[in-house]
Amino acid sequence: MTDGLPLRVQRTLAHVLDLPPGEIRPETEQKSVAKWDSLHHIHLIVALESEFEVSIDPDESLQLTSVPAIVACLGRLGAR
Amino acid sequence: MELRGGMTALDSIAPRPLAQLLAELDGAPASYLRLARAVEERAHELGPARRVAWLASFTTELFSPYLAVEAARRGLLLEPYFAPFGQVEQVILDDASGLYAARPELAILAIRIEDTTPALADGFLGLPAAEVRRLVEDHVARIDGAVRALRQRSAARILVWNQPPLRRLAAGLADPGLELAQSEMVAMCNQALARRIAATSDAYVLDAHRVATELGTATFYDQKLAHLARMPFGARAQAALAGAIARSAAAMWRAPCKCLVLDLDNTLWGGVLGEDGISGIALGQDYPGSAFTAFQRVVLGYRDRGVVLALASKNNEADVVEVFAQHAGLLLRLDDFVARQIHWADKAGSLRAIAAELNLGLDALAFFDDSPVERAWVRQQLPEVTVIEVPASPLGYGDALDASGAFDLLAITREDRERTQLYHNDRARQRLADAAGSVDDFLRALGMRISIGAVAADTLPRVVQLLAKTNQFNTTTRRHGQAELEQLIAGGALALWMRVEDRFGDNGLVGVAIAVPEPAPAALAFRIDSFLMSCRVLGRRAEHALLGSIARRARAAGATALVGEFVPSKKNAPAAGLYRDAGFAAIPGEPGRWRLALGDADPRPSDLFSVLEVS
Repeated sequence: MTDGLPLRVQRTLAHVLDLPPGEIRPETEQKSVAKWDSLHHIHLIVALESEFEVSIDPDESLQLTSVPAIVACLGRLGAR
Repeated sequence: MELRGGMTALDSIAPRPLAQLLAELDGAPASYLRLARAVEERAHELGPARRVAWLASFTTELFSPYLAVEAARRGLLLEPYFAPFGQVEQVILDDASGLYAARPELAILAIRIEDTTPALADGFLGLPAAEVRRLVEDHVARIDGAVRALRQRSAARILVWNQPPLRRLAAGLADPGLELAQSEMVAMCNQALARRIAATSDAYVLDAHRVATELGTATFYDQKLAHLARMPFGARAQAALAGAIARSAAAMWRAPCKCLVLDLDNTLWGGVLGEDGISGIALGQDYPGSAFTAFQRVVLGYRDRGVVLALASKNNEADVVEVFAQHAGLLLRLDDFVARQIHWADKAGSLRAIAAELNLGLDALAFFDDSPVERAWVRQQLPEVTVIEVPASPLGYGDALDASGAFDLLAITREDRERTQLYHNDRARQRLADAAGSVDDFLRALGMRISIGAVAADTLPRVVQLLAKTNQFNTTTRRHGQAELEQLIAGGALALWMRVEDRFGDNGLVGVAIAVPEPAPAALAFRIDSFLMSCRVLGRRAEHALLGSIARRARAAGATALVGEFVPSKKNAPAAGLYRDAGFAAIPGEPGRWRLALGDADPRPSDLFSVLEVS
């Protein structure tokens, strides 16, 4: 698998929210996706932690409200 | 970094059946989320949805994907309703609440000590022992009250979580030395809860304590989810709890297997008897023999809880008999197997022969064999048989058998525990039948003593179990639960049990009949809603004793007619002729319905057995 981090984040997000992969773009933000509510946000954090084998700090997990924010956070945590 | 497991799998999900997709579950939360979508898309492969209500002292919505996937792995499709968290009593006591609008078939009740009585958690050391006992009693009484209130308003099966071990102990290292240890308080709570719940029909404990123990509290609890989402449990714990719920649900709605068919070579002992000889097979105290001995202990445990054992082995029968007679390392005895197919012919044939000999359907058999080739063959030839996936190492055999859930029962009755003896008695009867000149001679020689009585609290669990699992001699296959049956009885139904004893022993409670008074215009008739007998007593005409008793009781209640129904299923052909043989007339224009006018005389008395009406 040679896909970059942003693409994989987009795909994880699409899976969690059950949306077609094309609907999540590199710049997508939580406020523009109706399905991305607080319940799905928790599922998203759990899925990201499991998929990328990282542990996300609670304060930070509340701030992961866009694809770029998630990508940056995962990058800092060493996911590639 | 390589992607783990399933992400690429999703892209190829479309054309494959759900069962295949579920086999890819790797236990990671992301894998559950992905497969939950697949379950949603393939819901039609699982049959009708069962409605499940969650009532809890914490949020439960996050369980959705885990429960959907775990239920699908047990062949069930669930449709959840979530009551607002922390409002269990309010929702149950309000007849107009969303709970009852959701018409649940299963209610999951999860109330934690940490939520109801925080003093018993972190505040434990501030409480004298007497106060601890009082608070535990209050907590248990509160749950029991919710269960009873729910039962008054709904016939749903109820699954009540017990208390998992606490995340932290207030006294830390010193807990075991306390006058009343905090861990002991939890055990006390769970014991009291189990006893209280047992008084309510169709209410069972979900052993959340055991789930947490298997996982370890460090994995079970998740502080981040607790604080961000009011979900006390980590993702893996949610998956494990969902797995336990799905397993209980499957045990409620599925007939369990009855017979475990075992291979011998490399299954019950190491090595191949035909090649290694009696002294060469591995069994005993040292590895690898110890692994097989350990598995035999597990199998004996299954025998003790009512699973009938059988052998299907490719071997020379004389060699096998010799091993069982002479090898000191064998814990199982040849007598523990009520049916034995030991020869070189095909195993699908052996399984068919075992089912026929024991008078069981093929779907009552679970097959355990170390050979992947034999398993694949049986799977392909006999799809009804439950084929247990066996790991390569014998160290995993017992766990594989446990995890299959093939023999899961929510409650074990006296009949379950005595079953092996019952089947041995059957074999003795068979020998008598072989010697008798005619069927009537044989039945007379059996000296049957039949007792019949009204279903009451002591017989209810076994009656409900028979309703749940009898497939062959069952006129309508209506799977009434305990609560539904109690409602029928309260509404005036005659509910009867039948026991059959003979010179070879007691067959136990083996027959059930439920007759319901017809609504007003036909008030003088009773409709036989359910009539069933265990396959153990088929072909003994005992059904006529039970029908005779219904007729007498219906007449005593003022009825002038009985109406019998037959609803064909895949398996109930043995009961198709019941009403015709008993002298009922087919009702014109109503297929499957039969009628018998109740005159003064009893329906056909018989000299083949004696009948005692107990209650």
